[in-house]
Amino acid sequence: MKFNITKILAAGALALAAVSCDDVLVDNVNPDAAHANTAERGLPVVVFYASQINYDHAEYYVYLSQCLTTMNKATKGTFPYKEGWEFLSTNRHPQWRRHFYDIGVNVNELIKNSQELGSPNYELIGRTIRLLSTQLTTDAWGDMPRSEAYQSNSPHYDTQASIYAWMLQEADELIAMYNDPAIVESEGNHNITAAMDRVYAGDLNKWKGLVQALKARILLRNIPNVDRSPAMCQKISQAAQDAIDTWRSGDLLYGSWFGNEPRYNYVQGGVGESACPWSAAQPVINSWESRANLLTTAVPSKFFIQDCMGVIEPGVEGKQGYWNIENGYGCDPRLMLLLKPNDGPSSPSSTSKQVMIRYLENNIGAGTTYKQTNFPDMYCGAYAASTGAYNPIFTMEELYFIKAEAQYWLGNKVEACALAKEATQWNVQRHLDRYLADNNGQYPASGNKPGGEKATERYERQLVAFFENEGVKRCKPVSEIGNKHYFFDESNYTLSDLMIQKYISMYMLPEQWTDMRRYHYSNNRNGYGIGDAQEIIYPTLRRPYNLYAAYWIDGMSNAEQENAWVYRLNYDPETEEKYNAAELDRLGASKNPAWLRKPMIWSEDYGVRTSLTAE
Amino acid sequence: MKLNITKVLLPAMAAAAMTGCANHDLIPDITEVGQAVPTVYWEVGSTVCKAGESFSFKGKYNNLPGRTPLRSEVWYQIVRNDNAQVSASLAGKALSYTQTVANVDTMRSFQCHAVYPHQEEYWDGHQNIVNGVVPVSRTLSPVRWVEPEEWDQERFNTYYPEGFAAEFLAKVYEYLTSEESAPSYYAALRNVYLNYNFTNEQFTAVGLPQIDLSGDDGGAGNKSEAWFTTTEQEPENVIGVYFITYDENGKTIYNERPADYTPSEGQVVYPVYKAAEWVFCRYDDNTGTIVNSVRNEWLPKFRTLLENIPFQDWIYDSSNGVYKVEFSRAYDVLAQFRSYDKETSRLNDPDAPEYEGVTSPTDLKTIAIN
Repeated sequence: MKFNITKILAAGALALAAVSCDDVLVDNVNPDAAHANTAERGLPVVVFYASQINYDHAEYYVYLSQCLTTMNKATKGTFPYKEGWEFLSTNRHPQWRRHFYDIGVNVNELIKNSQELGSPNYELIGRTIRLLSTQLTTDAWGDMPRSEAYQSNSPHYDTQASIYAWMLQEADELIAMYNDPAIVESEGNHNITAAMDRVYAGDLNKWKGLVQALKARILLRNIPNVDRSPAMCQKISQAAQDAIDTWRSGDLLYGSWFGNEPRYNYVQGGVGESACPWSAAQPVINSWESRANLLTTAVPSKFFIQDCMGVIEPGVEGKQGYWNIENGYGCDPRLMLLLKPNDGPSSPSSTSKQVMIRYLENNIGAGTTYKQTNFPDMYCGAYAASTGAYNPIFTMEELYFIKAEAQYWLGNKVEACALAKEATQWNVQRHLDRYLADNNGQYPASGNKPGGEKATERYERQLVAFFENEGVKRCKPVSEIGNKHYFFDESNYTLSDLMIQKYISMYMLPEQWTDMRRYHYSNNRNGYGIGDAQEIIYPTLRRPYNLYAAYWIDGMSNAEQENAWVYRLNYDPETEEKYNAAELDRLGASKNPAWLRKPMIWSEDYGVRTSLTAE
Repeated sequence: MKLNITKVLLPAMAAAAMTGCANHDLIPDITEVGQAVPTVYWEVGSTVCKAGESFSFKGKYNNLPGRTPLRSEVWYQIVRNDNAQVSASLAGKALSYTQTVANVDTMRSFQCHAVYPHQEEYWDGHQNIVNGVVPVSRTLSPVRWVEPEEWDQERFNTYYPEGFAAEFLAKVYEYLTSEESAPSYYAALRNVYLNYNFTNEQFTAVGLPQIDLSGDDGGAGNKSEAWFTTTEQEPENVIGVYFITYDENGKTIYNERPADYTPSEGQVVYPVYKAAEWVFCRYDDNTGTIVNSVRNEWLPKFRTLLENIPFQDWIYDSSNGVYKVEFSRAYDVLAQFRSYDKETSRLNDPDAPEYEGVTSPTDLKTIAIN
């Protein structure tokens, strides 16, 4: 048969036309479902999730720290963190996926794109957010995948100590990169707009402040259980100061005190991302992946309202939680800013109506007398009052409290007190700014409704009563009302004073719960004394009522029960139990309620370990 | 391009070689395609039928060539489904317990119930079609005995399996008087004490105090006073304290002490409140409320008291005046259509009568009798 070269070549060309490779395979992918991303499109996503993961954690923690509760007294259910702590039936924890998928995958892509583009500013911001996300995630779960993450569906879990070592190394490396003009002033750096970076519009010096702040937060984990030596306290204090200095340099976004703390601004956000997660809009990001804030069913706790903020006339029926014309709703001015009291029965046995601050012990149940509408409206304060509110990724107050805590452990109680006082003053101001913005510049009065000029004068007197413990006119000093405690007595300053004020300032922020775990939920019932003076940090704190007995009560002595608190979350059942069960078994974390009580490396008893990074 | 006739013809010849027709089908010549089989199919008019009436059907059958159709038949077996349950009512909503038993029995094995000799007019050009009806016995009527106002022990014995009542009572006693579950059913036991017409002889026999039962309420008010508890956490109501320990099996032990008891270091005590002699009325720190339970040493006495209550009184719903029983018996017919020809039987058994060969049975149809 005749050899026909034309036909063979034609057949070969036809075959080649139907063949593809990785580089051109994308041409055949559904154009409506992107399989890859660009740096300029990836950055806004990562920055958004930096805010979201803070919310994800805080949404759990505000209940785990016994700050909020509900009207119910369920032992188990869909929301174990605000019920009886029956976590093992949970379907999914949103924070896990947020870190490993939403942030982890997108940051990896962002770094790759950044390097390909020769625009290192993308990489710097991406790695900074990954550091933040890693810190939040390991402080919720302890050991977790890091070095082998994304290599398989069942990666090896790194120890928490090794993750802490990596975080400190990464922080130092990032700070060095931020200080390197060849990187931050690289000609290849793309212009990052405010629409792409809704926190800092690509200002790398401001992002550097977040790395420094995270480093201070990570170092603080040494106190009080790992390393509370003067050298370490100095190091912590300096780390916090470095962040403060950075955020107070250059043009200031939020005034001279808040400086350039990172706030994710939701105003003019895209569809679905235009409302603050704590706001009444209750946004849910990616449907099943997230949990909406359920402040509609939240009730402030007795611990928060009575013990920490000193509500007026506690325990006196007919007066407790009532408005007092001179002292408002109690000692702490934030009682008038973080909630709005509602009308309802004045007591379970009375039908008369009264606007008052109602609150409950955690998970004790409200009985049948009260309705949800009788309890305060919690859509108040800087983060929740408005859909256009911001979500802070880190606050200036936290840096001050970090520094204050380090100074306290250095023995400088006066300075610690001054720092805590200043931080608290500005935390009050933070929430007041929101209130004034929403109420035409008027100050809160009865019912936390805006009042006239007299409301302004009374509010000013209440600030003096709270911060100086001085009576002005008929406004009594705080040592005579509410919880009758002055939190800023520098001559008799306690660790409890410091940490309770930090607790209030960390309302709706992840550190609120982390601090409690660091201090072993120290209270009068478990008698867990801290430091040489065996100080009790949260004296009136107690475990929630109606705990799931099989995990938290049965077979435990009274002392064991009082020290049995949640120290970590169970690994995400939807992914880890299905795809990485062997690792859970290796750790002893598989369906094991005792795992929930296992301390973080930074919340083990003092003396158990002397380094955060050593195995 | 030049037309190459050879290349065109070759495929055409190959295709032609593989082609056949009814007369010259090449495939059976070179392969084994299987044997022809008779086909039998049927459908029933309805899957329900009243007892004493008939259900209709349409049967279709095709015999093999050379076979002589004889007749078609409908066979069925009868299956009985019994469902029986009783619900505890005496303790009110505080004890929600229903005991159920279900039984499925084949009452009659397959029997022929209708015969349709083959007729030429059944042939519709493609297959034989027979439209027929099959009778169902009147005795297969369903039985229901639900919430009667009068108790009928004979019916109960007829419908319910032996030991059913005893099993029910044992379960109720266990709920109300075992140490494990009695705390959860405290309110139920109190309801029984209040609601049932115990006599004073029965009370005193187990060590409970006598009650004035002469009032219009049958003594319910007096019994309620006798079984009293504390509801307010007032200091004047405290009669003692308790602390918790655990035995070697992890079982909780409530250690009661006098009100002036001095706890040892690390020991946490909680108040015990005034209550009836047999009630342990205590503050529960986990729930933040006063919790009541019958003291363990009294539980056997209450069991003895409960044993005075006849079975039917446990299930009597006094609010609605009915006994909480629910029995249902229903029958299903599992039917099959069969077609016969003369030859099939003899192929398999030369001595068989020529009319005994079933061509092919259909699938089973279930018809519920109502």
